Amino acid sequence: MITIPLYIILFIYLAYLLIVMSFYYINFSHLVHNGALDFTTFLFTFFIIALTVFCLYFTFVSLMGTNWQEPITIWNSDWITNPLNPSVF
Amino acid sequence: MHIDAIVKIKSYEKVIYVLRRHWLTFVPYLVIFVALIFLPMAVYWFFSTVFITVMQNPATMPVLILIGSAYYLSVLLFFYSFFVEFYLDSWIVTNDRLIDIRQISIFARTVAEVDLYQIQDVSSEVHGFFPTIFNYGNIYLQTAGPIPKFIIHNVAHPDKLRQAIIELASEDKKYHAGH
Repeated sequence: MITIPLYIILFIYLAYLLIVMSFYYINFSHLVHNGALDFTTFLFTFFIIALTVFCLYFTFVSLMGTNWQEPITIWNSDWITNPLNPSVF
Repeated sequence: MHIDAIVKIKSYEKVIYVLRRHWLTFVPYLVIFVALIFLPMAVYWFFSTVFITVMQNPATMPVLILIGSAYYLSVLLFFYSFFVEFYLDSWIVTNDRLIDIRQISIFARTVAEVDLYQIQDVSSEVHGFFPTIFNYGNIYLQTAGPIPKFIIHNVAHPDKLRQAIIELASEDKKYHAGH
């Protein structure tokens, strides 16, 4: 059985968040460098940013009070040898 | 749109049209986006009914929230990328040439151009239920240049535009005949 603390998942999430943000930046810089930043693109970008902020805020609020030291099982051999027993999950 | 950022406009050149695909062609992306927004709710319902013991684990909910959050950020990113590709995919008609800017993906773009005097034949096509109702379609340009066939995809008012391109090409031919 392999267990890891919950904060490892949080670090993976934060790394992924960094990748997503860099792609947001690449998309936005495409609009700026190609001179396509007009009312439509500004409105659409604003809409995307607003939804992203909402998503991050909802994530932050939902995760408040989480014990990040909580162990999480990422591999248990019983999942293969005894998959029909619900207690192994 | 500042054309100078993509192509160098000549001193005597005037931009007549900046064309993009009709907005209705973006609607399928919007439908997919809305469907993807609701997908995690169905997955959550499935998990909470089938894996009851897993859901009782105190670490499960934070993990699901982080996965859900990453999923929604990805959906938003893909939607934004599709919009940027859609918006940067354009055709510029000037009194001298036609420029085709094709944004294939975030990291791939092709720019092609044809002089208006090289245009030999212009035809427009409105094909299908929605194109007929909302009046959009393709314009095919047969040219004598290095790119034999130029296609302007899903633009609004293709018939009117075909007429305008024919007139511009005819004026450009007269100009080149005199010089």
